[in-house]
Amino acid sequence: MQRFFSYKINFLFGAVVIVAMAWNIYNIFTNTPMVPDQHWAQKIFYMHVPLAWTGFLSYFIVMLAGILYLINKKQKWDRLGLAAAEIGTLFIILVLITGPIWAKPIWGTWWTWEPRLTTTLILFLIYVGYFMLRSFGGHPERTSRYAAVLGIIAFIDVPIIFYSVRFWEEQFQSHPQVEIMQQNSDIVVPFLISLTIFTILFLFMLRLRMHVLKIINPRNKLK
Amino acid sequence: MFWSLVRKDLHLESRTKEITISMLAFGLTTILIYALAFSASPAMYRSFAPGLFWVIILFASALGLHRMFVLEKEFDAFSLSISAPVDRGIIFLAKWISGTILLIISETVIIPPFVIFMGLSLPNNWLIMIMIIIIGDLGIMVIGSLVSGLAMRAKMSEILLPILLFPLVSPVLIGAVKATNGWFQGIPFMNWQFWVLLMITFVLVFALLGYTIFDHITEE
Amino acid sequence: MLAVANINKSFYHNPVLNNLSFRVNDGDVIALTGKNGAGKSTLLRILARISQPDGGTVIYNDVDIFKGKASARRGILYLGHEPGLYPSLSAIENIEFASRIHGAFPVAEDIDTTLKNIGLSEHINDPIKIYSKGMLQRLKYALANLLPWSILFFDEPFSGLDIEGKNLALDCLNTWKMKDRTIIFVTHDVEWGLSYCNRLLLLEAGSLKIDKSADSIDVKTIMNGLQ
Repeated sequence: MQRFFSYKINFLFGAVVIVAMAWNIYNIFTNTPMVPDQHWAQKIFYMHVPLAWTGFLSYFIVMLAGILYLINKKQKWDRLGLAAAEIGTLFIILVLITGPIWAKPIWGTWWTWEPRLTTTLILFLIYVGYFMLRSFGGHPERTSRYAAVLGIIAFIDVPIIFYSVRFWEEQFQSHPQVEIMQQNSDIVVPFLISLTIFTILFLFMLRLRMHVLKIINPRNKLK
Repeated sequence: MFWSLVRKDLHLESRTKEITISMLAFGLTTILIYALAFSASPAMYRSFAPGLFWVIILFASALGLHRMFVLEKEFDAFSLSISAPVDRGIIFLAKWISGTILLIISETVIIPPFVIFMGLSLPNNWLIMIMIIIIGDLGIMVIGSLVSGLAMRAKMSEILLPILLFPLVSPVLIGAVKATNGWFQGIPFMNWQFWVLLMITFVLVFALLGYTIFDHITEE
Repeated sequence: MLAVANINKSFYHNPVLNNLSFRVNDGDVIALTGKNGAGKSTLLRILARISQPDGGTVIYNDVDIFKGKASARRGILYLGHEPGLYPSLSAIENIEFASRIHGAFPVAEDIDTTLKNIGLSEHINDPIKIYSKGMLQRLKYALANLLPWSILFFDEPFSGLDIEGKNLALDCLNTWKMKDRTIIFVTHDVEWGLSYCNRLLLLEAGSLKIDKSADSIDVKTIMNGLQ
């Protein structure tokens, strides 16, 4: 099977992503306004929130892939589910790291049980279980099915988890920047650009990972 | 069919008593451990009691769930139910309800020592607390039955089960503790009814999902 | 009655069943043979819907058993290698439960008589975990005589039976044959298979090497096939 980057479109895609992300980081550091009280720490918002959104998007894709896999058992849905779970978890780990980095200078504490971070942490732990199930659940033909089911259960639980955590402790209100769309355009525009670029990065990583999963599948080696 | 399955589970339990004994023995031991570890004043016990109670129930449930499905694996007994012309969704519902019943039975033994050792004085309207306990148990068991089906055939199923169960069941834990606390502090129902509704929503959503999806996890 | 088409099953990417197809008609009594590990028990478990194939269909009375309602599988009885019963319940309790979920309500006298006929009149109220392998095997015959079925999947009919048990088993088997029942046996006893069954299937490397009526085969061919 050909190498991933031998396909022209993948090469172009990869190049675009690298350039766009580099520009995005540069843009965040040079073109965005300094928010009073938060200064440099606030810049993390331009990455933290897009990471969270794409992480959740990823888990949504795991659920969709799970449903499709259970319907027609095509291997590509299983690969999509696994790839999305891996990348989603990677992004979520970054959310859990950037969250404290943002919180420390502003609130003086590394961790706070604020609703969105808490939901993210719970979701992360669910996916730790997901990967354990994949590893210890038995033969891959069965774990694909079980992982699909877990992916569906997990994402359906997300809204309920969010609502329970949101009203759990009234004193833990949301992160500093709550109403993103109500900020002035100096902030909203770079944010939306960053969000778009992170999404494109996510799609690229998904494509790459799916390709790798396809070629390392022993079943495909027989062909 | 449904009642045959539930009766079978309860009958099995009345013979072996494995599930209820493990749940209540574990529950009682945990009460002791907490009392020793957090040797606190009665006032502190009052504020911790709701949370402590539900944590104990959650851990005991994980044990009980594991035993429930181990009983099915012995002698390949589960193959009897799944090769029969029985709707797999009904098998899930039966496991859910029989698990909840067994949990409630264990709780009747766990609760009195819990109240006594923590030195708690309870409000008079017990029926409300019974309702909270039943809904909370239904919530834990509905996800528990689903997740046990997943973990049943896995290696390290005793570890995998709690790892899958605990994060997924967090809305029930939060809701149950909030509701219990509301009842315990004598706060009017209106103020904490949201949590009861949240738990009921959780139960309905996952009962429906479980009924639909259990078929995919019964087979080897 | 049963149409099996293109069944595939792998474990850890090793194919165990490879594009398997065959039909079962009313009254067929099939001996499914093959070396250890050939996939015979796996195939039977797929037909009983205990195991899921990676591909292919199993159609029973015009309904795909993996897509249709559970009630469409009424009439299928699976007796596997393991007891398939609850060790902590007694023989009677197990039979009652098994009957109810198969839609039958046998009378207590019938259960007692059947158990007596199969040589299990003692210990009928004790948990079956105290039973020997032979007793558990006899219990399977009791189930097969009490539960309603149109097609029986029986994995190793003589496993663990002593001489008396084997004779009782043969009595049951002959009764079923006289009544034109449809059965698939997994068996290592090729001679018995050829004498009793009317069709023989040899499973090797995941495919059916032989699928013929029993009179058209001779024992030597099979024995060679099994080596």
